[in-house]
Amino acid sequence: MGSHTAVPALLGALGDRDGEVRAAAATALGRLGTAEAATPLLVALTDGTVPRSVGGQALLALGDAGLDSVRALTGAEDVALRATAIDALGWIGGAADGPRLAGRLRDPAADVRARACAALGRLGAEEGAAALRAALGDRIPFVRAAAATALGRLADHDAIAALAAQAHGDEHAPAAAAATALARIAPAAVGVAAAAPGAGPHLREAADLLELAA
Amino acid sequence: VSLEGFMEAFGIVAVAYFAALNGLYLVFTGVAWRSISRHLRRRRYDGADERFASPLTPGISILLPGFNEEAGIVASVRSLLRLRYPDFEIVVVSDGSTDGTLDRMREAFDLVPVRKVVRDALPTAGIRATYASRLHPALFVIDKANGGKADALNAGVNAATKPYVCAIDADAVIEEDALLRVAQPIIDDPERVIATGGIVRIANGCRIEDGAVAEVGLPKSRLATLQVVEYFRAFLVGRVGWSEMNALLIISGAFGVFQRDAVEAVGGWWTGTVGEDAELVVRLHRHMRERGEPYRIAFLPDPVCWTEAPEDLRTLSRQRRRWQRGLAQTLWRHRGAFGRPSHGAFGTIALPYFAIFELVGPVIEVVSYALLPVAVILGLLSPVYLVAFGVVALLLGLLLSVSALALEEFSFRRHPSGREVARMLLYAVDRQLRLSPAVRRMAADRPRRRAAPPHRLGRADAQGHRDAYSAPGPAAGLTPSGTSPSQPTSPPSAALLSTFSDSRPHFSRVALSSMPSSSRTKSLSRRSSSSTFMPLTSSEVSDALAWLIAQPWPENLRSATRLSASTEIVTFSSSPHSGLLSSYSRSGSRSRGGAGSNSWGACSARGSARGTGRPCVSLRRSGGPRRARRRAGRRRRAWSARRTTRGWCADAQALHQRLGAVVAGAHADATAARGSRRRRAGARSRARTRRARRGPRPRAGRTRSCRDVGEAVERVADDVDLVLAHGVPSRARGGSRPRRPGRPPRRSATCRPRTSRARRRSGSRRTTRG
Repeated sequence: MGSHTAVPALLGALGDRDGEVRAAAATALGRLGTAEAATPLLVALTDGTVPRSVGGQALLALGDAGLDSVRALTGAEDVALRATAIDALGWIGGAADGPRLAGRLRDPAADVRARACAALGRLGAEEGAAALRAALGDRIPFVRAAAATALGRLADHDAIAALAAQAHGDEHAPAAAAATALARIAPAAVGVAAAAPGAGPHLREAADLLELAA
Repeated sequence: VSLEGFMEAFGIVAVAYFAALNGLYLVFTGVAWRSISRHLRRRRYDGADERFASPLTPGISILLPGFNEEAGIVASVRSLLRLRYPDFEIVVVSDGSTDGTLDRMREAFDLVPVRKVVRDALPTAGIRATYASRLHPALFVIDKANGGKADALNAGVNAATKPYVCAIDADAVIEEDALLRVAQPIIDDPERVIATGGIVRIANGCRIEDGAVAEVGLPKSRLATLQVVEYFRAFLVGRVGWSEMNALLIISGAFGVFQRDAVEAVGGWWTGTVGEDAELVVRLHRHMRERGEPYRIAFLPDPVCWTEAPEDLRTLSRQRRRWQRGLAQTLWRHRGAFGRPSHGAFGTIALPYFAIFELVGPVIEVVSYALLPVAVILGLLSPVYLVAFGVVALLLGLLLSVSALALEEFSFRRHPSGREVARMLLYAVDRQLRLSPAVRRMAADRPRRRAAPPHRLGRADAQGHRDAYSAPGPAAGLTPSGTSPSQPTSPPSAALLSTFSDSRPHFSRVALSSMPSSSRTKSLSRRSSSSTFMPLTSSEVSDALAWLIAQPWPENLRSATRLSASTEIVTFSSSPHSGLLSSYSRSGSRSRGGAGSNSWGACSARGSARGTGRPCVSLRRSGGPRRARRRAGRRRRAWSARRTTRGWCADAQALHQRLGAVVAGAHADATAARGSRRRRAGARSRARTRRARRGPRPRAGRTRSCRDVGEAVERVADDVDLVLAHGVPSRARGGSRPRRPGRPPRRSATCRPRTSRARRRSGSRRTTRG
C-alpha cells in the first residue's frame, strides 16, 4: 500500500520477539523508503535480529533516503555498528563519501579499517587512494588484503610498486590480493615482474592467469 | 547374578532405551514441523533471488575431489558450472587418477597448466600440477598424488581462494539453486555460522538429464524405496531436530559448505577415518565449544542434493557397516567431549545419543530380539505384554515414518504423484516391519575382517551415499614387501573404462576400476546402481580378461582357498539382471569391497598381509538363490560359482558351465579340505611334515591348477568376444546363437529331443532310416 502511517508500527515490529515478524517489518520499511528506518535497520543488522540478506536488501531499497543516518553512524561508538554502517555506506553512498571513509582507515578496529577499504573500492573514491596506499602497510593482514583489492578496483597506478612489493613478499592473502590488483592495474608489469628471478608465486600465478585470459 | 536378574535388568534397559529413543524422535518430529513451516514461510520474502542479488552473499569455492572419474567428471563439472550463485569457483582435485580424467577435462574445458598458488595450510599428498580453463575462468584443476578423499578435499581447501568451501561428491546431482539455498544461514549470520548442509535425496528412479534431475520418481527397487522413506525420517526429522539444538553431528559429505578458516583451524578433513565428514563436524563443534566462541552448524531442509542409494541388500549392508565404523571412530576420537556441560547439547545430548542409540543401539535391539522368546519361555514376560509392546512399538514407528512422509508432502512435495505417495506410505509400513530390524542387524553384525587401511576406505557417506569414490589411496599400511613382484606394473588400459552400448542389454553394467599398481589391486566390478560405474565395450571386456589371464595365478586353487581372505573374485552369471560377467577382480577384499564396489574399501592386500607375497584368485557367489546365498554366507571361504543358469542367454549359460566345472571342482576341494577344525589342523600338520620330508610335490587329483582357471577364463573370453561380435541369441528375443567358427551348429530347441526316451526314439528312428 505504501502508506507511511505504518512506519511507527513497523519500527516497533523490528523489536518483535518473532524473527519472521522482524524480517517482514524490515522488508516493509525498505520498501517504504523512510529515512527514519535507516538507523533501526542498521542496528538490527548489527545485532543480527534480522537476517543479513533481508536487512541488506532493505537498506539498499532505502537508498539515498537513509544515507544521512548511515553516514552519521560511521562514527558510532559501537565497533560492530560502525563497521556495519561503513559497509552500508559502501553500498548506498557515493564517491563523495571517500574522505569520510578514508578517515576510517585510521580506525582502531581492524574490522572497521578493512570494511572501509572495501567500501572505498566499491565506491571508486579516488580521494581515498592515498589512504589506501598507506593501508598497505597496516599490521593486520586482512586489512592489507582489503586495501590491495580496493586499489585494484580504483586502478591506482601510483600503487603499482607497493603492490608489486606486497605481492612478492607478503603473507598469502595480502600477497594474492596484491597480485590480483596488479594484474588489473598493469598487466604488462605483472608479466615482467613474474619473469624476474625470484618472483613470488602469486605474481607467477597472476601472470599465468593473465596469459590465459589473453 | 541369576538369569532372571539379568533378564529383568536387561528388560529395564531395553524399555528405557525404547522410551528414550521414541520420545526423542517424537520431540524431533514436532520440532521439525515447526522449523520447516517457519522455513517455508520465510521463503516467501527471502528466496533465492534475494540472496543472489545481495551484496552480502559470500564467495564459495566448490571442491570436487575425484579418483578415476573419467566417465562422469565432465558432466559433473558442467552441471556445477550451471549453478546459480553470484560468486563461486570450482576446484576439481584429481586424486592421483590413473585413467583419462585429466584428459577428458583438458579436452572439454581447454585446460592449460598454470602456476596456481596452493597453500600449505593443511598437509596433503604432493601436488603434481595445476590447471586452469580457458573457457571458464573460475575453473581450476589440481592434479595431486593419491591420498584419499579427505586428502583431496584438504588439497582443495589449500587451493581455494573464497572464504567458504563447498565439498561435493563427484557423483552427486546438485540442484541449480542449491548453493544459494544452502548458503542462506551463512548469509544471514556469517559471524556465527561455520558450516551448513542440506538434505540429500535418493536419485534412484529419477530421470536425470544433463546433470540435473528432470523428473522425480520413486525407485523400482523395493529396498531403495524403503530408503527413500528412511531418508525422509533421517533428514527431515532427525537432522532438522539436531540443527535446532545446534548439535548437528553430520553434514553430508556429498554436499556441505564450511567456513574455510574454521576448516583450516581444526586441521581439515581427517584422513584416518571412513567417516571424515561427520568427524570434521564433530571436531568443529569441539573446537568452537572449547574456545567458548558462539557458533552455529545449520541444516537446511530444502532438497538440494540427489544421490544414488544401494539397491541390493549386500551393498546396503556394507554401506551401513561402514557408517557404523566411521561413527565408532569419530565417537572414540572425541570421547573426551562426552557429557561435558560446557559443550552444551552437543556434548550432553548428541554425542551420548549417537553412542547409545546409533552405535550400541543395534546391539541392544538384537539382544532384545533374542531374549524376548527366552523371557517368554521362562515365564518372565507375559505374552500378552509382549504382543502389546510389539503393537505399540510398531504403531509408534509407523507414526514417525508417516509423519516424516507427511512432512515432505506438506512442505516440499517433490513426489507430486498420488500413486507414488501411496506407495511410499505402504513402504513406510513395510519399513517399520522389515528394514529397521534388518538394517540394525546388519549394523550389529561385526565386520568379519579388520578394517582396511583408512585411506583405502570408501567414500564416507554418513548420509546414504554409495561408496563410489573409487580411489584406493596410497599403499600406506601395505608394506612394499606385500606387493608381489609378479604383479602387473601398469594399470589396466584407460580404454577399459567406457560405455556398453544399449545394444547389449544382456550385459549388466560392468566396471573396471583401475588402480595404481602400488595398490596391487584391480577390480572389474558390477555396480548396477552406480552412476560412476564404468561399463565396458566388447573389446574392453576382452582386454580386461586378457589382462586377467596374463596374471600369474597361484599355483593351485587349494592354496588360494586357504588365502581366500584376500579374495580374488571372479563371478560369471547368466542372469539378465546380473550380467554375463558380473565381476572379476584381483586382490579385492570380499565382503567389504571387491565385486560390486569400487570403493577404497574394496581392496585390501590381505594376501600379502598374510605374507603370501603372491597374488591369488578365488571365485565366489555374487547373488543367486537365497538358499545358496545363505550357504555362501556360512562358508565365506568357499569357492563357488554363480548357479543361476536359467538360460536367459544360452551363451552365457555355456560360459557359466565351462567355468562352473572348474569351479565346482575347486569347491569340492575346498569343502574336502575344510572338514573339522581338528581334521584341518591335523591335515595341515601332516602336510607340513610331508612337505618337510619330501619337498614340494606336484598337485594332482581334483585340485585345479591355476592353468585350469586361466584356460577357463580364456575360453570365457573367447565366448565373450563371440557373443559380443554376433549379438545376443537370447531365447527371449528368439535370435540365433552365435557359433564358434568351425563348430557345427547346434540343434534348435524345437527339434532337440527333450527326454531320454525321445532321444532313444529319435536315435532309433535315424538308425532305422539310415
